[in-house]
Amino acid sequence: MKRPLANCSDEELFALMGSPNRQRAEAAFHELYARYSQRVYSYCARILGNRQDAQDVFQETFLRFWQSAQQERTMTNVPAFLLRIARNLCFNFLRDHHPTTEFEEELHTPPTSSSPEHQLERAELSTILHRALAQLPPEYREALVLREQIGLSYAEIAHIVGASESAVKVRVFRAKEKLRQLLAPYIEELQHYRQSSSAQREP
Amino acid sequence: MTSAEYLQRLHELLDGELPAEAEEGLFYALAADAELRAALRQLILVQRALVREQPSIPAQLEQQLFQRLGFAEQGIRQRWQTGAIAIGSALLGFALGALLFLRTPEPSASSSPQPSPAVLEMALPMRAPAALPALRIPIAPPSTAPQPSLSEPPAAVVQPVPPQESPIATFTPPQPSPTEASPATLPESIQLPVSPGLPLRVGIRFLGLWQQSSPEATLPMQSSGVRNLCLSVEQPLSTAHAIALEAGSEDFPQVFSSERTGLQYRQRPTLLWVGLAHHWEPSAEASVVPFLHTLLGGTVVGPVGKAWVGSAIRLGERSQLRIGLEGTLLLYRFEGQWFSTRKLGISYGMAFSR
Repeated sequence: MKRPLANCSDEELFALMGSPNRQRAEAAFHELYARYSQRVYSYCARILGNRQDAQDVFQETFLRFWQSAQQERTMTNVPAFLLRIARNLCFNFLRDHHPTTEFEEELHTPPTSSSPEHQLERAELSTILHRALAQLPPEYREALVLREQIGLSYAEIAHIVGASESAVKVRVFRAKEKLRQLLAPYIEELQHYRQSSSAQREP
Repeated sequence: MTSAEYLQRLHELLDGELPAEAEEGLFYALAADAELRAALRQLILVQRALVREQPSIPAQLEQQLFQRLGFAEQGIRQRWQTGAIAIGSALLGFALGALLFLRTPEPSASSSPQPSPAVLEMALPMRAPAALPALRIPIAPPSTAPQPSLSEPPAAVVQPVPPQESPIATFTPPQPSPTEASPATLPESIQLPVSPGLPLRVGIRFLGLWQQSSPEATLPMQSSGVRNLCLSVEQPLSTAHAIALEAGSEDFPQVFSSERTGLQYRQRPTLLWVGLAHHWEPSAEASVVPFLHTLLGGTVVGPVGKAWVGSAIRLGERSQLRIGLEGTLLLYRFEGQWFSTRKLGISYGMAFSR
């Protein structure tokens, strides 16, 4: 009796992707896609900072992943392998295209106090965060995203980016510090708004 | 220690990498330095924002990818095949139930269980003498034997049939009281319901033995609690119709977009729903009967409608297994726009009469 794919390890699924049984191979791909697509997409979106570019690289990453499964039979760390493919594609893309700096001026302007509620809406905060991340150097942004959004250990990040653990720690520290400084005016607003709104709710 | 060094310590603290021996010094510095405290607050908020603001994968991106890989067509074909098998099975089950129901003869004196004398006394308080010839018809046809009367010896009438199989053999007509003698109040037939009250039913149903949803969202479910389960209480209105109060918990894949931000959201929350249902199931002696169950209800995000069609298999006097094809429609609003989730699946459950 066949085991459900959800119970299979990454390595087993990767091996199944190269199986001659096309249906089984696709099902294994679907399972790995469900497990790691969010990580890969977060990585691409944060590194490239542009939705369309991120989608292109994301698709290309999984296409190459599928192709490599047809050629190789063993894989020891599937998520790291996927992220390495995505990383190579992202950095190639950044090398060939000039990264955008269009948000820089806006970010250094503190938010106006005319409509603080609107400033605090989630979508706008998301945009602000996105813009702040876009201002970080790609290596710092990458280390931060892998650590804070994807939740990898320093050792795993070091393995993916090909640097030492201490170098990765420094990158994460500097990225967070830069981000804190960039977001400081917005964060104060956010905190002020939260405090005042919770005070209003109290009877 | 300089403030820059303390700042680095703060990062280490939030990262879970601060050595224990450095904690005391940092906490003293935090107590004394308002700027450092502000930096800590800012770092916490930045970290939260980073974790919370995950970019979501657009639904069409997934389709495009699978199409490029050559999966999409096969996937759709496979879904259609699976769906067709499921729908076919459910329809077959329903047809089988309907067939068995239609082929089952109407309950009659000869096929129904023998009522006890006590029950007959209740059902036929006055017309017992008139009802007796009707009971005797299958035993002794009028063309071959003269119509007997109560005054004749029973042995002569029931000779072809063993005496214990005839209710007449053991029936003792009660003495009517003067108040019961009015013909207007007398029951006309022996097929009156034996029990005047219809019993309340409780049911439990498991949703999605097999399930397809549109839109699909390949996301993990957002709750680890009870889900895809429904409980109901049914009050029969007649032998074929019942109304039910139902409550259930079910996961609904949702894909919706914001016109304002241009973002597309994908989620798979587990929602509680409550609704009022109508259950139709023909009363029959067959062990398998078809049923149709429809529900209108609501969730915290919007209205929900369900239709469940299938077969009920009688397992005993008071219990039955129900299995069938269930369709669900959930409507919800986001930024003034309506979105929907449609689900089709096979559900099964048990119903128990009190």
